Amino acid sequence: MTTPRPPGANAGAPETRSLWAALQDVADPEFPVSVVDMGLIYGLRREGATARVQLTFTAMGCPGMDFIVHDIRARLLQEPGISRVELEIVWDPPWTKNRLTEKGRERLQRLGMAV
Amino acid sequence: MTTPLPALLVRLADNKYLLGRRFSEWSTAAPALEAAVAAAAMTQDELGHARSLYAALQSAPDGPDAYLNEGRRLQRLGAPILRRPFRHWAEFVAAAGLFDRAMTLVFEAARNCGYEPLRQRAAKILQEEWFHGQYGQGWLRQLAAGPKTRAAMQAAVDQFWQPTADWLATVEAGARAANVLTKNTEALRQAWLDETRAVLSGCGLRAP
Repeated sequence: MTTPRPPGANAGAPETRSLWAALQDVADPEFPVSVVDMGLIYGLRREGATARVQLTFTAMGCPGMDFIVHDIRARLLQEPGISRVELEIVWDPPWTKNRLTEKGRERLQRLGMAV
Repeated sequence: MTTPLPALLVRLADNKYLLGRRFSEWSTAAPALEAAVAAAAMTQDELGHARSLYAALQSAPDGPDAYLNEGRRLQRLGAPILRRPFRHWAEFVAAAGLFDRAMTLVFEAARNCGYEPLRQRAAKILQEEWFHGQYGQGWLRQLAAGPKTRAAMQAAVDQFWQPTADWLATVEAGARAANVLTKNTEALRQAWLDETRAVLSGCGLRAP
């Protein structure tokens, strides 16, 4: 599996772009950075009324897992035409700080994080 | 326990869980504040690995019902040496440097497993375990170098040596033949023995 990059809100088909934009509203519970800019979203697509999300976490023991899953599901269900969200947890390739978007990196650096 | 994959998953998960429990007991008792923080972080990792492996068991083919729910299982497959609290920080270090490393070797052998949930988890676990290995070896060298701590470190190594080797001898249980692991029992044991002997020799400790 090659290392995926978060395509952000400007990539993909229009109906998928709106989903990426929606996930910009979902912040990591530990940092004021969206799950997209944290690089946690490995895949996102719309199939009819279903949003399919491939998601990873920074650590396997991440205490925020349930919060993140809940928040992603809740936000995507607010999108017009989405009535179902399927989430798949992906561990390979493992998350590293290289998955941060430029925006995410800058924000974490402003918060004093060494990334 | 009838098939190699669920047997391996349970054996790994139970021992990750127990190791996490043991590490957690030092998150307020370690010899330095930084070590306590590290113990807490390692606890979080080990329990996260266990939780993820138990979840993988749910989707494993041929998983016996009796083993699918960790809460309902009467028989746990945790190594006896992990079933009681560590009495000394040196035992924490030996657990990280010897037993945890032995488990990591199993995940290295599962990196190309045909069962994707285990293969995926192995990738993440190996990433996180790299730090555990570095940390365990760092403390091993430090305790081995201290005139007042050297005997305790040697005693902890002696204590963990045979149980870890014995555990490695049981863990494969047909998993190599089923293409779950790329190494058989003897190869896993030999890799662990070679590596651990070199580490111990490098810091002046004796391999039992």
